[in-house]
Amino acid sequence: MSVIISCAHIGCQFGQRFLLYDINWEVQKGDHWIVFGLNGSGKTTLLSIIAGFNAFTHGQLKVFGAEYDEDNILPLRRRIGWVSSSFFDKYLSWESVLSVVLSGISGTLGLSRLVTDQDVKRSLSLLRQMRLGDKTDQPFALLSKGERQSALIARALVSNPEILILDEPGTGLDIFARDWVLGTVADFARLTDMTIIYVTHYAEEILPMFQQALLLRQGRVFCQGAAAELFTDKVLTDFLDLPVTVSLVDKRYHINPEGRWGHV
Amino acid sequence: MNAMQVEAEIKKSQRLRELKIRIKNCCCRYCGGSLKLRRILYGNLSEGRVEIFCTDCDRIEYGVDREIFHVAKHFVQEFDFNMYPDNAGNVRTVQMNTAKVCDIMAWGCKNLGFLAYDGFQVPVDISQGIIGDDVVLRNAELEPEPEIETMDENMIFGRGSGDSTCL
Repeated sequence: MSVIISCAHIGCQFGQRFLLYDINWEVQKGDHWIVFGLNGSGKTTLLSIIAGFNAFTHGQLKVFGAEYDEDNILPLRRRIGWVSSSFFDKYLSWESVLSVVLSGISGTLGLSRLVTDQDVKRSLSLLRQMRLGDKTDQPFALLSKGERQSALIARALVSNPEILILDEPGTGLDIFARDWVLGTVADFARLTDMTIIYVTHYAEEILPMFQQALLLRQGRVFCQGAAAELFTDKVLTDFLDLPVTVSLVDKRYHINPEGRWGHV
Repeated sequence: MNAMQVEAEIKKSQRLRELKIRIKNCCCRYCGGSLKLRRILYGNLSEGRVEIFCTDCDRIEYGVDREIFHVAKHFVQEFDFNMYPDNAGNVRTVQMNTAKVCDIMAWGCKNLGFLAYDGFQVPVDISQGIIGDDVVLRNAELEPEPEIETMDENMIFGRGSGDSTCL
């Protein structure tokens, strides 16, 4: 096993505020990690930095053993599949679905001359697999939330990435679409040697193959380690600052609040 | 500067150079508007943060050579070409059809050896009936060094809302 992502004291300062502070985290090749945290904990910021789509202000980041620079940023980005509707929805609107998928070939947001006929065929094939075969020319913004997630998954996969980062892929999906996404992720984990990082708010989305977890709170690492040791009553009660119990049903975690939050 | 340094300098920002060439030759496949280089992301590395952008359509757009756009637009209008019969018959559908014909024509020209990423490799003489009063500018007539726009945060966060000045 080799270290594929290495964050050493990563910080991201915006004005006087730190969105991320002193993040130390190593991911080994082939690992399957969960990144868990509440809204505003810095999950998307951290992973957009790792995916090479955002800047950081402090510390050192190495991806595949290298720091991002002008020469390697696009080749490295191509090796990382980055699915994040909260990120891409800010930048993509009227671009066609096919263009969005093809942009994954060059690791950019737009197209490039690197795109070949084979890339187009593969993109169309992925879109058909994602049940978007009839939406390839539609503007990205006119797709439903679930369809946008599927298009971004196709974008992530088009370059055969070694790392797949899924940022809350289940958020906003209906139960069938979410189940389908989870099944697809489970297949990737089972059938490929991809390193997978899955970001979620919801413990029940944590599949059994995600054996390690990083818990982020207010831009800092609260704790990290084996998921089975972190998803316990004590750790999550401390993490959430509210009393909870954690149960395991059908190999899925469920967080149950003690009493009713928000009620005195 | 020795030869190796020159080569390294050429390789550096190669994509940026390509994009600059492209916005001189190309226009938006949808509306035919001029393209601009825009800093989209807030990364530190210019290779990864700049894209070609159509400000009229508010979209990241790789563009197509102007000659192809004119012919494609004429084809769609002249023959009522519509490969999206399920869409509403509005401006957006016409633009989507034009963009599709542009893609097909560009693919054909590229595979016939007429077209590369830096423009036509052979002299092109568009029929006056197609181009009408429009003027196609040549490289020499365009400003040599395009500027890169910076997109402020409000513009970024305003995107994806369904508002577009073009459609």
